[in-house]
Amino acid sequence: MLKHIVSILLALGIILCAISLPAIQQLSEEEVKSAYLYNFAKFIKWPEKAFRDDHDPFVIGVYGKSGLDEYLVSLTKKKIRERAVEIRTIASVADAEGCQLLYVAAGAERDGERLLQALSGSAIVTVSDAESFVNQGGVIQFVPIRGRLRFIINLYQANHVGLKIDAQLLALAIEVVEEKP
Amino acid sequence: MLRKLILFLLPLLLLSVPMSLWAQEEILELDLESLMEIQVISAGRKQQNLMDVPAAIYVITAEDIKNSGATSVPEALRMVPGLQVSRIGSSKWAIASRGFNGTFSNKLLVQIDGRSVYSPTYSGVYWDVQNVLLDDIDRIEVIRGPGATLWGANAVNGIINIITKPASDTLGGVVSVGSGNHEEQLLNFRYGVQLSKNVYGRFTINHIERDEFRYHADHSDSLDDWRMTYGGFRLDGDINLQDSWTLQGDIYSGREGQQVYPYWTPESPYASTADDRINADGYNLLARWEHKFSPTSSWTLQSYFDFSDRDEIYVGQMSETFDIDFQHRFQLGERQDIVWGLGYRTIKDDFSNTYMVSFLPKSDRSELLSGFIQDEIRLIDDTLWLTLGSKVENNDYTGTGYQPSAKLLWKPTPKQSVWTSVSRALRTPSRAEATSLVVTNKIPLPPTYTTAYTMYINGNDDMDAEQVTAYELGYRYARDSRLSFDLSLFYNRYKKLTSYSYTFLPSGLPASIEFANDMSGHSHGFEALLKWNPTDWLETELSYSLIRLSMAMGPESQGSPSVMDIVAEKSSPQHQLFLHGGFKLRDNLRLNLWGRYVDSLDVASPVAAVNGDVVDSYLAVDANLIWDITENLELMLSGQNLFDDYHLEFINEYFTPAIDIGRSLYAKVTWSF
Repeated sequence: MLKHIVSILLALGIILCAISLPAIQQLSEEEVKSAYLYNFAKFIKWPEKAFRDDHDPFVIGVYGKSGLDEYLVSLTKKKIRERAVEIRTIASVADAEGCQLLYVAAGAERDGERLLQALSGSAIVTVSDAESFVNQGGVIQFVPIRGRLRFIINLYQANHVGLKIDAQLLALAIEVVEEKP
Repeated sequence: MLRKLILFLLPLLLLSVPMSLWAQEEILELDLESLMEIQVISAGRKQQNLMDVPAAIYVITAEDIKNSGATSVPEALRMVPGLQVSRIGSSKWAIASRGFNGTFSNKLLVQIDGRSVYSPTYSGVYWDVQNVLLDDIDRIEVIRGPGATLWGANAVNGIINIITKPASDTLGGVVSVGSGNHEEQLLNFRYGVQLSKNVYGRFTINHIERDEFRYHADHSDSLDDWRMTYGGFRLDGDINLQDSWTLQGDIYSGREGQQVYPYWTPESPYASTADDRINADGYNLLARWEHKFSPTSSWTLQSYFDFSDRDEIYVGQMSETFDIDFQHRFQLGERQDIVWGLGYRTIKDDFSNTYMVSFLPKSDRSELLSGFIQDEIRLIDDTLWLTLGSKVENNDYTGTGYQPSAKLLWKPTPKQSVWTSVSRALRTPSRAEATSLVVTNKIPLPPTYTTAYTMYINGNDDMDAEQVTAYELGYRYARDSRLSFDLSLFYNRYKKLTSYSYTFLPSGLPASIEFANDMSGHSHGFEALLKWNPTDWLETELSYSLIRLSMAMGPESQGSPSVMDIVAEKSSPQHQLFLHGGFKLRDNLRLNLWGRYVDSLDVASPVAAVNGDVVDSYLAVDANLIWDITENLELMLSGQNLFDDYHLEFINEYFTPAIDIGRSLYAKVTWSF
């Protein structure tokens, strides 16, 4: 009797799963981060002043050793908010001024803090996986949970510089910081 | 039935499309919901650093389990250096750390996800019902030596923590089907899903059928086949960055054969052989809440309920356990890492007494209250740590007991560590030792031999806890991920060990036999482990262990025919040597070879002492081949005990005659989707 129940359950399970499931795949942290950056760009609206004119490209800056460069390259074939995409390696505050999205590698934390202070008034979506990045005035911070990458949004900072974050993106954040951290 | 299932599965397997690798462009097109579900491979994944543990710890990883070819938890434990893992029969195991092995190996505590599976009735673990699906196990931590300060009573000579994977690590489905000469059916099914943004779940169904082995004496069938069906689920969720929870449960039902001899009845011929079927059923439910303040500061609240019902011809035992535990860890100042906790457990039991075994009272409820604190003090940065702690426990049998420990860890260089410890641990008397009445012999009386004199073993509710004071010294060296060495030495002093006290009638017959605390002694030995991976395609592991025990009976036992001291001295293999070689033959093909030399047991149990049976030393070789046919289809061919038909590993101390363990060959197909 038991045997039959088990075999029926097994068979049912297999059929159900075979029909319904997309394959689950593991990706590298860098691949996932790159895809996140692209998605962030899609769900955030920049103020007019963030671009000089309509032909200005959408600039994604990378500060520090992130390992993202090789994955971000394929973004240059795409358009973000109807603008061409440019990937820029950032070495100084001056470089960073022209970016819309800036990824700060975790290793560059200390300099990153100075960078954040300098950019605190600019309409730049700063993103990092550095601990307490959001507390230092960063806009989006990656946090690893259960082996997956999730994120915190500093809505206070985003509002402060005129960035409009889509409700859909906010809903998926594990935490939204609304008060000045 | 198995053939049908395979026939049914095959077309599905063929139909299943192999996973294609995503192109970079496709990854960029993934939406946020999908991205949140993807498990990332992180190069710097935090490794558990065994160098910093001041105890003789060995961790069996999920990969080790797979490579072992084991089909049950006890089989997987065979690789642990120094652990004595003896198979008594098809469904019975005797597992002990640092001596005192037996069916009711009572000095080893075993926990599954923080739920104790140590039976307070008999003091020991019913391994046949610890049927966790091996594929669900994240790791098994085995600590040889006392672990009482953190884990509490009965962790006298060791503790085994079986930790299952969180549901977030088991998404998708796995089906495995296996069969062989002994492992007649191995059927596993697991399916995991992300239920919502922050909740993961899985369920597992598993069914096994194992064949009988043979009797050691006359090579006839030992009638100890067993079948077990198990179902389990686990849910894991996050409330926010600080709070996470787990809810999990298992249910099982097993039927096992055994022949009970001698089976005592009130009427002549008194002793007979009884064909018995063990019915073992149970379920449990566990909930856990964890709050993290920071990586070094958190609290956990955990509670579980466990029900088990086990019917054997000589006694039926039902027990309900409720347990709640709170644990808090925090940093005090710059140098101290403190963990403290409180626990409460209540156990209600109910026995179906028989003529042969009875418990008085038949039903009872006992309570256990405990608290512990442990302070790890960093004396010199990155170099010297002192850990002090104690557990205080109050139980209904022996009152309040303290189980303190002091440990010192010294890391002269980052690659080397030396540790030493002194600890005290207690073993609480079991319900059997305190309150049972067991018929142990019936002697027909002359002249007519129609009446018999009955001998009983009586429980003694004045029993004290057994005590150990353990002194340990360890050294570890890890040159890199390719070469490491681990050595642990121990010296244990035991007091108030369980013994039997006899009183005699003028005729010379025992008037009564009662449990007592009249044995003491000491043990010493060491375990050494060398791991060496000379190339990318070869992993090797070699371990050797030595143990010597010496016991003495106290004054109350002078002139008693008890053999407890001899059994304690001679039921452990003095030498054990384990060897493992893992060969990566090709990227998708792996060969594992395991060799085990286990020294003889001159007196495995009291029965063996009476009959003069010896368990000879043996050399067993296991091998398996794991072939990843495609990314999600795997074939395993496994052989255990390859080079001899049968060998004896242990002699059961009660109720069943000695059984030879035979060769086992099986094939298993695993399909993940």
